[in-house]
Amino acid sequence: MAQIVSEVTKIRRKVLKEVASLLFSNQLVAGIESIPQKIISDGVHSYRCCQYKEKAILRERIKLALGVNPANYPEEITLKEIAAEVLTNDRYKPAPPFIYIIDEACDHCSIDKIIVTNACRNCVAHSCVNTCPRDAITIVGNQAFIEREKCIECGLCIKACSYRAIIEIERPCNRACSVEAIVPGEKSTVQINYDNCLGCAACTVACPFGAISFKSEITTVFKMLRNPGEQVIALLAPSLIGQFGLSINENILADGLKKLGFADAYLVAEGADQVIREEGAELRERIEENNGMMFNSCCPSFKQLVHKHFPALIDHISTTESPMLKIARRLREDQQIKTVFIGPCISKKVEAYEEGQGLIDAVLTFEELTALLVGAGINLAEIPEKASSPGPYYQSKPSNTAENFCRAGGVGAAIKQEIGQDDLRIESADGIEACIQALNKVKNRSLKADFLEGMGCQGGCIGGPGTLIKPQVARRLLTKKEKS
Amino acid sequence: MNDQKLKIEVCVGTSCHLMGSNLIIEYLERLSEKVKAQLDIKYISCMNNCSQGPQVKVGDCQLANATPELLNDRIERILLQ
Repeated sequence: MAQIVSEVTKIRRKVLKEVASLLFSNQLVAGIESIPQKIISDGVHSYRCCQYKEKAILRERIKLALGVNPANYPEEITLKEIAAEVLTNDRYKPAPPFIYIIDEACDHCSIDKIIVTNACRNCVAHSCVNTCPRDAITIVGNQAFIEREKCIECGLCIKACSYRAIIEIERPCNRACSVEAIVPGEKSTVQINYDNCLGCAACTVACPFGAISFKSEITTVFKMLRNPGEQVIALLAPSLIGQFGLSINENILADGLKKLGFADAYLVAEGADQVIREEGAELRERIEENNGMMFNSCCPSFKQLVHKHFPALIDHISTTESPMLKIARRLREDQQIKTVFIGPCISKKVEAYEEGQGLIDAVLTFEELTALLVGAGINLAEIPEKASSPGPYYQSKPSNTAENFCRAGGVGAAIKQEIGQDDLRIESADGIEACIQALNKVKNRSLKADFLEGMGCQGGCIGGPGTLIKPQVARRLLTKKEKS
Repeated sequence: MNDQKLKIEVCVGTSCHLMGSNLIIEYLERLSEKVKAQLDIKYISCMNNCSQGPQVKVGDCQLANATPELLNDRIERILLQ
């Protein structure tokens, strides 16, 4: 699910960067209307029918970057007005659902799933016509033709055609969504059925028109950082390795965060160490009491999947809080602070909002944080390493096992090590599709395991939608660190 | 082919990183040893054109909004000369 830096990614990042830059120069209200023109003149080609449409789409992206629901702010309301409201309203806080479809950007791609291509030669055998169980295929104008009303999309004709001239096409957003949360919308666009949606954000990565995006929390965090009465603490997810550039280590990042206005930074892997102990104890108890398999609780998309689509299995989920909530709870015990979780995950935004009220004040993706750094004029590559203050940062060193929470199989391996029994059966599934398969096996009792690790993203958190480097690179760096 | 290596400078500043300079680095790392031997690759912390990253300099020519494809084109054209 991790993204390569496509043109779509770049446009989203440019918008975030421009908004951040205006925030830090105190020019948001004055300058916001000029962002679309600036982005177009900085070299974003026009992909749409005209510049007007391109700008209209950019305006929707800017609203999302401001963290508001664009649907609540119709065209009559200017960006200027929205910006002023966002900055002055004390109750402003981006809320779920975070994932949003920009109707204007949606290309209305075809939902006729099975299509006859021009490779059809109107052959003599007509295998397609003969195999169709519903007589939906006829020959029209020297080519096979599928009658939509009759077609049941069984796909037999695709296999039957000797030329592979019949293909199945699916909307990329649909294909990316394993829980059927993407449904046809009005005027042949799409909509999200939020009752089914897990918030995993796979669709935001999949749409090649960038029509699905998410509400950003950069303004929330900016406001916290600018409030002199507030001590804002950054909580860095285990997957941070290499995300800000290969030469940027944790200490340089901590210095950058300090420049940005954070009072301190902690590694969430510390919280993961605590989770390993508690989840381990919980599992031991479960095994003793013969209570069946346990699932991890650290991945919010996986948890949502169980809650929304496998409610009978909810009791299997570990009751231990996620590493993010664990560390925030510990830090808040004796300090008046605000906390910002920084990670690869969009789903965490919902977890923080729904389960972390009072513990987590905002969630940024690595991408959003980098946009803030750039907007504030902070270049991590220019921070000298030796100048890194030892300071209060990273008080305890998390274990390698905890740092590996961010890669598929890492949580399971940590639990196995904690329990210390060779015969402990661990299963892991990464990617929602694989999780569904595993959960179906649990449901029909064909999965024999003591612990199931479910990860919403392929490859684990390092494959998350808010990452800045490829999961393969992150995996390589993790392995290297472990060996050193 | 002359003896002098072709100078490549890649900006790895945070702004260019956000726009995908890591893809440029990956592209350069994946080049064959034979091609790499003809290049003198340097990583620069800022090339002062942050609004049009990633920035890459090939010889004396600075590329804006660089992509692996664009860079590959340039390198090929110069090395094959």
